[in-house]
Amino acid sequence: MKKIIYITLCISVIFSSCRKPDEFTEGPDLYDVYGDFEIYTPLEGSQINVDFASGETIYFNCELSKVVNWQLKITGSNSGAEKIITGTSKTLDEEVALWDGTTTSLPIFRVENCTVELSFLTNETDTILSTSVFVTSPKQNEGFVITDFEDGWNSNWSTFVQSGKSMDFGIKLDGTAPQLARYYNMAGAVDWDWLTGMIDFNASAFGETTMPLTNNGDNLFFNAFVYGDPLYPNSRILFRFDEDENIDGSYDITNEDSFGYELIIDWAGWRHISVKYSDILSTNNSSGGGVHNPDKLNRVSVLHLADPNSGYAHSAIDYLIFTENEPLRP
Amino acid sequence: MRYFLIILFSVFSTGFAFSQNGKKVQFVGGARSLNTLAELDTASTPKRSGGYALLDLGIKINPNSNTEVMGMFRINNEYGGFWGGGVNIDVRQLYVRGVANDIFRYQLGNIDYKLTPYTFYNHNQDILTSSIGTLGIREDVFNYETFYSDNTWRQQGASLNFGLELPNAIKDIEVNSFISRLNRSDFNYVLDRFFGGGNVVINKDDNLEIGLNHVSIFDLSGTARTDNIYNNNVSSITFDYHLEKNNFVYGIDGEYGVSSLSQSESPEDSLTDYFVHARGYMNFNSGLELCFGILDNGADFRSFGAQSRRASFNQENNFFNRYIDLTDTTEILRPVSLFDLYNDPQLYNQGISVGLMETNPIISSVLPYGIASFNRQGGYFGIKNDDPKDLIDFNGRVYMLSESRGQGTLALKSFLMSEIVATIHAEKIWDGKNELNIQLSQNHQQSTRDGEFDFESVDFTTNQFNIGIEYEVIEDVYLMGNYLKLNASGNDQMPIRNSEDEIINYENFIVDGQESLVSSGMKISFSKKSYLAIIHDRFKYRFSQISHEYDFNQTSVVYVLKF
Repeated sequence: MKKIIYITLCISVIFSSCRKPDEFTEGPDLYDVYGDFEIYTPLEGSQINVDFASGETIYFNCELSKVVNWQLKITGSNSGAEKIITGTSKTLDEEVALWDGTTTSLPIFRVENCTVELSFLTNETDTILSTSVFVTSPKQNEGFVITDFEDGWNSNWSTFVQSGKSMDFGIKLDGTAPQLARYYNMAGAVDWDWLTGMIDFNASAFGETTMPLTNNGDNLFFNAFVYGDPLYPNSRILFRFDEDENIDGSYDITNEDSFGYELIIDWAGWRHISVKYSDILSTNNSSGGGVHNPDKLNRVSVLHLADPNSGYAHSAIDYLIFTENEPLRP
Repeated sequence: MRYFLIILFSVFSTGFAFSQNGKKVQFVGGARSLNTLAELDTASTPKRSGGYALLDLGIKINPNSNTEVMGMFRINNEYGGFWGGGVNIDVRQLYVRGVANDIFRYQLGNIDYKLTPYTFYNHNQDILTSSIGTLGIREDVFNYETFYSDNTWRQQGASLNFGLELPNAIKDIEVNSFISRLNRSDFNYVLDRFFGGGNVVINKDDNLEIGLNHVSIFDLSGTARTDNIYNNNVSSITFDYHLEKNNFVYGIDGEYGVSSLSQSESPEDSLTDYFVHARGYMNFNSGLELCFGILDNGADFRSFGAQSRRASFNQENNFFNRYIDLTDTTEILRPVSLFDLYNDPQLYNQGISVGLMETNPIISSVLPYGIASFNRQGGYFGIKNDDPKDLIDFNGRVYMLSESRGQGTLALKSFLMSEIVATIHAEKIWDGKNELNIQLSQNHQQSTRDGEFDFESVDFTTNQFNIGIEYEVIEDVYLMGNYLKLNASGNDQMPIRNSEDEIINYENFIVDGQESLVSSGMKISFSKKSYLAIIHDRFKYRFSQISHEYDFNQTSVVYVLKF
């Protein structure tokens, strides 16, 4: 009798435990993946005007019949700035299609009207949906701006330009700046030296002996927009950071640190570069101990370099800015 | 004292060999040499040769009758190394084990451990056909390299086991426990992660055994700068109740349990589910064994101690990892094939993997994570024969399963898997002196799904067939041969999962092709533990929908010595 009870108990527990099939599914619906492609609702922005400077964002809505790979391309009508947002979903909404005013490729957006195009990366359609949005105020970036050249030449800066051929160093206003209107051009041919010209941005331009930065080099990022001329891909730019560690108002190469970040400009157009301050290497054998002290930064220098045998070299810079916690998101 | 405790050390220490011969120090280990000349017809440099000679030298020290210390070093010399240039020296095994207070059996360092098939178990999901002959030698090598013995996983940690006998109440109790560390903290965002658990197995009498099992993968808070604690807990009850009649034993056994998976910072993504697996069986004195069982493994059942796969298919081959199409000049990655699984021990996972490992439906689609595979329910039956005359042994099983939760549709996939291994010791038929062993094994898997729309339909079939022969030409000299074939055809909607193992999309997987291997060789046995073999393999890969077709031929000389 006991044996029968054991067996009956086991069998009843087992069979009562077997479940019915779930009445819901796992993963995206197959129809959403393999069904016919249709556009259920048109592309629309969540607002007509957007003020990024005050912290506003805009998102785009669109409903589709199935999950597809899509691309939103936002283009500034004046600046030519582009923001690309991509995703894989059947619905565009605040979660997947939010724009916070940042740009994917320079220049950055200005006060301007922007066209918004939604395309689908599928063979089933070549439809492109479009709408527009007006940027009443572009995104403001937090950080310490060394310069964006919009206020012209500062008398506390200093410069040196070699007497080579076709030397063209100076602030330009020609509609091609990646941020606002002005940028600093660096060009020329020097056949006896790598250095073609340089510019020093001294802390004295801010009425201080050191720049007002955090003392934590692990948390500080130096950012700049750098132009590469596709016709003259022989430029190099050295960003040099001189620290006044004894706070005597000047940098001494023999016993204070200088750090350098050199770029080979092998691209075409404007590019955003960013580097963590503590990752920048010493240029004077750590004469000041080699410890990064950004709060004692006395001078930022930009040196335009080129192989003397390579002829004419051309580059440009704009929007030199330190940011904390993360690289600049232009 | 009503219950008299008797420590069952003598029962549970069958795996030990402490100083049984009185030696304080013993040398154990093995040596192996492998030389290969291989040719892949579409590789940029089609021929390669290589090999190695290695020595595993273990020293067992028994400082006293209750303690054993074992350290095994590996000296590996790759051919092509000059003087010491190609020599590597590693620690292969290191442990201390013993019996404390004549009660507690412990082991520290390397431990080979398992509990139950649903909690902690090393399932064999990919080599689905059994092998003798040349493939048997390959299996011998990779099993030795990967420590895959008796379905255990090798861990770095500690285990503690003991047993009690309570004569007036129950027959005995076994208590087993272990703890190991799966990964170490990076002192930033990765916490120390441990895997621990154990079970209590109660033998009420000779007929009833009940086990309580629990395992947990967990993060240790405070070991990194994050409070996002991971937990995967599995608890189960195992049982085995059997009776003995005149000429057979019949009974019921199985396992029932629950699992939970959570991360403290995303409780909304937690998964909990249960499983049940029961089996009735009849074992006849003639050697015939019959069983039938049912299982229901929930779609959210997660037990990475039992669902970790031996091989992940999200990795590159180590040998001829790239090759080219004959009509193209672009080199591409060569996918991991069934033949590679026989050849390369480095493809195998050496421990528990947290998260679902990538599977290959061509090789295993019905139970890709072994019997602990989630989202499976149904039944099976099996038949096995251990011939007392040792003439014909066979073991077969048929599974008829389905999903319990549809993927992207309410329509459920159905699965059919049949497997059989038959071994014939043919010389027994004519009372021959020289061995002639023939082994046939086959594994058939089928996944089907009907649906309202065409894209819901699934019809995917695979077949693995393996025949191996060993013939003793003269004493201790064997001729060997194998034919291995893997066919796959049809379509399936394979889920694509993100890093959280959630399904985010599907791959429309369509194939119609095959792999085949013809292998032959000769083995000279010097003793039961040492042999020299020469093997020639001719392999063809013909899954053109996945990657370029190719032929792979290789000749290997293998020397194995164990001591």
